[in-house]
Amino acid sequence: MATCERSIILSLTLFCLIANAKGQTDESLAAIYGDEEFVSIATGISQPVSKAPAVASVITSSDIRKMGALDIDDVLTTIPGLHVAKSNIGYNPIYVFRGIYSDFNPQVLILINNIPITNLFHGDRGLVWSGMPIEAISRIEIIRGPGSAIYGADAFAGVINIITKSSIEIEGTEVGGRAGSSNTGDGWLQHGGYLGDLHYAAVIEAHHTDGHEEKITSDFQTFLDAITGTTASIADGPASMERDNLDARIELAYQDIILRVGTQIRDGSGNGAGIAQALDPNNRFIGQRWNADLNYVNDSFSDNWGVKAQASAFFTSQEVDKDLILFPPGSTGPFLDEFGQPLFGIFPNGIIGNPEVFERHYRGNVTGNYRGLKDHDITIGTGYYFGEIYKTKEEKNFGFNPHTGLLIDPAGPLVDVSDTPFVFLNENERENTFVFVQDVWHFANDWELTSGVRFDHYSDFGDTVNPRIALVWSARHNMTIKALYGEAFRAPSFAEMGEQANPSFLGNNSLEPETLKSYELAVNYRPAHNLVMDFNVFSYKWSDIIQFIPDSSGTSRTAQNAGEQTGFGFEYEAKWSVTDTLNVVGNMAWQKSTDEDADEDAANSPEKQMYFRVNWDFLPNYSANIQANWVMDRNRDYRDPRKAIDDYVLVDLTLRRTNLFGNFELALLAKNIFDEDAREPTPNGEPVPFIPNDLPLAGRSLLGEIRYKF
Amino acid sequence: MTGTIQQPRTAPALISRRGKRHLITCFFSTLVINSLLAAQALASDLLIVFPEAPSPYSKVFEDMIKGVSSQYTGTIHRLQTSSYSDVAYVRERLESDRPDIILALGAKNIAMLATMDITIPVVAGAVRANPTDTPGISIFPDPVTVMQKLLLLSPNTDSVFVVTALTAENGYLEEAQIHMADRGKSLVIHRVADIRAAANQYLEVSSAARAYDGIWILPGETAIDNAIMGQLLQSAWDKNIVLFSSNPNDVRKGTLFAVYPDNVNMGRDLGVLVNKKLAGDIVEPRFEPVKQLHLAVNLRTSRHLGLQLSGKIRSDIHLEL
Repeated sequence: MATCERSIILSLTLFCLIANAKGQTDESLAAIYGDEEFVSIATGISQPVSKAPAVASVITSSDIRKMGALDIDDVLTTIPGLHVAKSNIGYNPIYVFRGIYSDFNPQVLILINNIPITNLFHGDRGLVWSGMPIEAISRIEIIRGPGSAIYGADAFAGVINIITKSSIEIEGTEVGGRAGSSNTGDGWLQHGGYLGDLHYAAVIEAHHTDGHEEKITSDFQTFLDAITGTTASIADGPASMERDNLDARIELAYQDIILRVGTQIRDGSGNGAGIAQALDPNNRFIGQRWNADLNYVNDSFSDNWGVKAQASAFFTSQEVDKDLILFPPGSTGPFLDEFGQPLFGIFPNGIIGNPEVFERHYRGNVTGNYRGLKDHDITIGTGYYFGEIYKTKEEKNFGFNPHTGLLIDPAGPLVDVSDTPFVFLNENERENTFVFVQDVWHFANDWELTSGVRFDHYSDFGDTVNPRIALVWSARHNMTIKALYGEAFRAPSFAEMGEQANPSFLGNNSLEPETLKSYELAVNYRPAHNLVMDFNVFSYKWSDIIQFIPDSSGTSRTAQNAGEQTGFGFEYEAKWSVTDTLNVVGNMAWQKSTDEDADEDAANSPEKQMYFRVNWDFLPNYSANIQANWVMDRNRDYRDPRKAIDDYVLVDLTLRRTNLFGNFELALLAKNIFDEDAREPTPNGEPVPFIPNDLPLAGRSLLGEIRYKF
Repeated sequence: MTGTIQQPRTAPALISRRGKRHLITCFFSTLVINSLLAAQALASDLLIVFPEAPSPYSKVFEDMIKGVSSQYTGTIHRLQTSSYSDVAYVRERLESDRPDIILALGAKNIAMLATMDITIPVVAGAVRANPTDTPGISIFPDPVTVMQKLLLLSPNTDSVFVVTALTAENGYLEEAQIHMADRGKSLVIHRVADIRAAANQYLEVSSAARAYDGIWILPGETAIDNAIMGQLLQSAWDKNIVLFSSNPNDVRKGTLFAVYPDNVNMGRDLGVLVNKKLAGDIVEPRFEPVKQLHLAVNLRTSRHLGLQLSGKIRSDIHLEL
């Protein structure tokens, strides 16, 4: 690997020595059309950012490329008040907004082109997530705080909306590749063009990695070995991080109509630090996500009306390619009596459970924007959603055999328990209809009041109404002040409502949605043409948190609306264009969240974060980008016996050479250049945390990148 | 035609019978001429010489060419020039493509073709000022159209001030002056020698301006730096002055609006010009400012000024920032 990294550096140095030959743009064009960002908007390459009265950030494809991001998580980690933690399951991201942390992270709504990719099973993006690459992304819009009045369910702690590139933005053909540490290889091809009024775009991206090799020194099986005298644990060993991903998207646009079709296939995904926090290097998951959406957008439908309509379908799956070994061969599993003795003896093949889930989601909605009433902008919308887990399958080698009524032989073949009461989850469906209205009232020259409310009816848990209100004051020519109030709800997942045949966790079909109330005060100030500052303070109350509470039997836990958390804090961000070639971005966030039931600090989310990025175009066609991300003061659960987890700072460097031989572009991407031992917290367990030394993140890595556009 | 539309007796007919005949004659004449022009174009080769530009500026040229293609029915050859392209290279392409007419986009290409002593007719575009006598369309926004856009957004503006060191475009500013005078309003042109004088003049104008007076910031020689722009923006905010420009970047900073070329439609106009030139028509005026303009508006500023933008007006706005 070291040889590979040296080769990349040498190659890059060689190319840097080759003479610069960039075609120069007429300066008069910039004087007439504006700078690159405006020309992109004016020529339809990118869309202007919506001026939603919310605390929002937008990262464009240009920013993404400059910072050397490889995955959306690399982008999201740069946002103030948002931290990307990791789950032991697949090292899946946990997007922690303002101290709101949970294991499956259903409190964050992720949209692709305004369509949710939420799964019904856990309310997250699927257990087989394995990341999302960035080449097809035009921009990512991030709203901190609640947005249920517009977006509905799960726009709770925050909303992440990923907008993909249009044909105009791609413009021609680009082919590219990337290779480096951990046997990582990426390749992509994108093409955009038009035939008359028909615009078309296609992007295909492939990704493979063996995953980083930082070791997990002790796991759940290590703990069981100590109790039962077995020697089954695979720790210490690396998390299972192998990934083979394929992403493809096609867009066709004809006048006001856009059709998009896409897929994200995850083939051969490792499960990270184990589904049960016991290492399992051999399991491989397959996950498939397919989407199609048809859109009609006409901002000038009539003099006073703009109209948008959208119909979409989204299919997802969680499939097991190679057996999911919850506990390794030779384990007794966690099936112990009160004296710590195994109930079922040794499982020579390990404890195996292969749960598979297949989902379908259909949506249709229409939105109208009415401008005909003096001093008002009124938006109304309505929609319908149907989602179902249409198939669940499970094979396993523990528990009861539904066909014999006896215990399954631990040494015998796997038993298919699909379509029996012993399957982990029954097939189920959910319908949702909604209507919303929002009015932006310009009641005085520099004042506007946004009021909105959305009513949702769900077939399984009933009705919910979520309002929001925002008062915006343009205090000076360079200062805007916003005061915001919003409410949100988070729909219970099917696992929380219907989990069964699980010795530890049981669902509850009488759950209510989680709710959130949030207050924010935000200031945008532009003291100079080249400096923008944003500051906000916030407080929130998170109620009816769904938690698995011990039953009276003492052996199992059932989902209940039990918890309550409050929090407050601030975020500050500055963007400074020091010169035409030197740009600096910095932000910091502080929050204090409290588990109200225990009157203790809430666990796992950083109380302080800081981020700093410098982009320097040090020569024509050469740029250097360095960024540092500090994560500080993460509390343990108050019952967790471990000492506080260490803070960390990750520093990345990207060197880029554009317009080489006209159309080539080269880059060197160095991640975690100081090889910091950075870790994300694992959950507390009973009687002890099962992975006590937390989840190590990747150490130093190096990748080389090449693009060719024609 | 008879009896289809009854004009009210009390009101004169909008178009007289003779006028209608004239209109019909014109319509068919135009149809015939256009058909002839198209037929001529059908058998002709057009070479579009346009500069290499990094994205997103390259889209400006792509859109212009798209517009040209919608009007020109003959064979279109494309020649993209880079900083390496020299006269010999262009001459080689002229010999291989043997075009009947050339559309040169960008200042460098126009200047290069002017030095080549060729007999093929040339039309120019995508350039601010044209040092040659080539007919074409400038990317300088037509001042009359800019005034029309201003009055659409801010009908109560009676006086507009502009500071200029322009020479080539002075005539167009004077046309805008007449346009405003016809409506009982004024366009006051302050002529200065250089950028320093322009900055001082803009500050003087802003300190003298009253509510809803307009100040127009032109691109080019009298463009102002960011510090002066900051002072103007603050003054405009405090005194409700209608500050506007011809650079869309300024809209983001806080000017009420800016105009910028509608590239596809400007391309269409260039296509029409190419057809005329090919037919041997005399093209007058030889080099005119672009009239196909998009409008970008800062809604925050418009609300501060208390401007009422109806749904109709807003549907005419290309970009709301």
